Amino acid sequence: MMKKIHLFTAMVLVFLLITTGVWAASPDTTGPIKIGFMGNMSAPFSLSAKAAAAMAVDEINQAGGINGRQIKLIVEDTKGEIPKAVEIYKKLVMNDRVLAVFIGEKVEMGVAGMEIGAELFPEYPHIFFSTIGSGDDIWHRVRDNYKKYRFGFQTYYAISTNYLKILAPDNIDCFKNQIKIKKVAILYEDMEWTKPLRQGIPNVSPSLAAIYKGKGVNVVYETTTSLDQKMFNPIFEEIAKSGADFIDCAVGYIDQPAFVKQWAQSSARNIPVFIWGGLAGMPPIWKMTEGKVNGIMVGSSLVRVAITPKTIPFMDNLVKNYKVGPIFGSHTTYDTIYGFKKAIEKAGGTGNIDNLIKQLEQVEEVAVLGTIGWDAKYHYNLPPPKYVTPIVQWQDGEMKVIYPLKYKMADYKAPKDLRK
Amino acid sequence: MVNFELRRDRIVARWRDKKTEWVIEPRYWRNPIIGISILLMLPLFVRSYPHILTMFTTANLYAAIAIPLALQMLGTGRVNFGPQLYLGIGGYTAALLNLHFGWSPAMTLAATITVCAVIALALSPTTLIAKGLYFSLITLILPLTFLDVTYIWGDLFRGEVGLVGMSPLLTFEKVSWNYIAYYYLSLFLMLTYLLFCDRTVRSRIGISMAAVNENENVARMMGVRVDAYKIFFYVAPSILTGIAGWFIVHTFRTFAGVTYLPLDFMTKILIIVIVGGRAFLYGAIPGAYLISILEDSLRGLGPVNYFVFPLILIALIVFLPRGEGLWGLYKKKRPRDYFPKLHVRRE
Repeated sequence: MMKKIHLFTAMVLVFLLITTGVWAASPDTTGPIKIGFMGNMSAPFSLSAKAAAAMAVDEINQAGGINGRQIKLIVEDTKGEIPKAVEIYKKLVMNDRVLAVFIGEKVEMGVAGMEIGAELFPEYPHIFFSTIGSGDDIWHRVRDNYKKYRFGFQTYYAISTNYLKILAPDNIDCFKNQIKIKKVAILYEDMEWTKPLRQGIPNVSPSLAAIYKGKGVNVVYETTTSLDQKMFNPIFEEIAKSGADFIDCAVGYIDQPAFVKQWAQSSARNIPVFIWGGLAGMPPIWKMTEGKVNGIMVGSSLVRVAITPKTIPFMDNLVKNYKVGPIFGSHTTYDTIYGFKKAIEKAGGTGNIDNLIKQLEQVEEVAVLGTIGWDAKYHYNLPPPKYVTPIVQWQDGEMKVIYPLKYKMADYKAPKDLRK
Repeated sequence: MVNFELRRDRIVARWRDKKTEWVIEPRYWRNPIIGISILLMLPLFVRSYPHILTMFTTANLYAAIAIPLALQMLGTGRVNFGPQLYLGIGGYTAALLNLHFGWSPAMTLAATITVCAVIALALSPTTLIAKGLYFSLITLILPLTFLDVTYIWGDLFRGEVGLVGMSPLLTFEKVSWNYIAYYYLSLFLMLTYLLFCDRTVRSRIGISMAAVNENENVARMMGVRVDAYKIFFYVAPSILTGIAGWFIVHTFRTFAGVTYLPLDFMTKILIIVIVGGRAFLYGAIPGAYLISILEDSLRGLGPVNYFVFPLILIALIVFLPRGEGLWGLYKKKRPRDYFPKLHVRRE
């Protein structure tokens, strides 16, 4: 009986030691550099981003680490829930004492992470990266209160300002030159990221429709569709009636296989379509639509074109060694870790967080999609042409780059010619 | 020297001529005191692990949503598949008023209660006109419609991003103190709900409620104001759920309908009620803690946890006493009805 009591007492003591934090980690400027990755591990984009993070860490460690220090990656699953994301963020920063948290998940998680990070930052200095969250909510925080949110950086393909000021005019020029468009129909999905495109940004840029008009292209049809929408036929019929010779689709999250299939069977099937991003720019769409995606143009970072010497090896290694395909968010996560590495090297270590932030604001590093770096004032990643998302066209089962001309793989072909 | 002795049903501590006994056989425990003491002492053990404290805070909030739901199920005799509607209404009311008009949390609380009461009252006739599956379907659709509204009126509700940066309820110098304080606040909220619902169920109202739950027509014949009770038990728990939304807004300081309004959030709350014991209000607490701890522990398994977790839940639902869940298991050897029932002769 006494033995049992001693065992019980010992177990209680051990439990108390563990839970009262005697063995808790302390911040370190030596030893491995800990970084945390959190995402929704039931979502393909988070899984792909996680694999890309693991790949970057493995490569850096094999090459000797950062200033001789290895990187330790801690991966956590948020299950796509804000309370869980908040809980995990605290764990990573307060217990695991990571130097940086990478959130590879949708924007609401990135924003929630940035808020909890701001609360922790004065006591637990760290860096925050959002590598999938799109839109402007993350960098707007840095713009509006730099002191509070200076630890936050956003890496995504482009922010709204740059969509409107750089990408849209460039793309319109490309369509005017290659397709000779005169009348456009614009379709938006009803999400926050398309709002600036629909309404413009006061004192920054007019709306997408106004940019088209400014470039001499008449906007004959404009509509917004909800994410739940499955029946696109009525929209395509109206577009066909409107006389549009081009359809610009600012969509990324709608049911794109259904969208593409219905386009291919509608009266608008011969009108060229451009989709801003999403599943239409990923290889499985060909099988999912039984080839009906033929002729569709889409912004895609998944095409096998060597934007830099890192692009093709990145894609191959991810598939070969990490068993996932590159999806949106994997490039940005991978590139962010390399940008972070270079900033630490330039800062001469991890001891001074403000120095590290300054280095992140200045750093530029060769990346999978061009050059990674962040705007010194607002902390979003450097816009095109530094960070590139090519426009590709599906041509007989393959994605071919048609723009930028530097990476061009084929000329544009009309959908009806491709179907012959 | 204190001597401990472990017996089958108790631990005995002896010091000089004094003897203290601690009964470890659950059936002899004084449930509320022991339970509340454990919950009060939890932060002492996990204070260095704020994420665990946050997990327990979340568990308290889950229980605070599940307790009124259990009361509503008993009081209306209907299964509400969408109480998160009021979580959304409460949360967005508090968040919008705080962000746009600078209202303090106390003022947003008053507004949350008012808005939830008005909307719940407006929707309460559904408990009178719809039964069984029809009522469940209506309640299922409402939060999903509200979710669509948060996208359609994205300027106001901020769609998938949600609202961020609301004022906190408390701010201490050290963040770890904040997390301990939020744990105790969430515990207070949950226990207040439990007390309110428990007192209601044990009162004369509870007897009428049991009658409505058993058979509405018989209850009506006995003079119970069935419609009034059903409206009350639809509105009151809805307000309590709305307050939980208000608490989430001022605790996590971020609120997105996309997290709380979809069906998967509701499924979790329903599972908490079922695993805890749907006939017992107390069951929501062990249910919420078990689900939260289980979910957190299984995360370490990686992607496998996505099918291990539901498998465990199915096993729990199948193997725990039917309808009585964890609380029923605990009460098995101590058969005493916690809420009054009227046994109506059907012949």
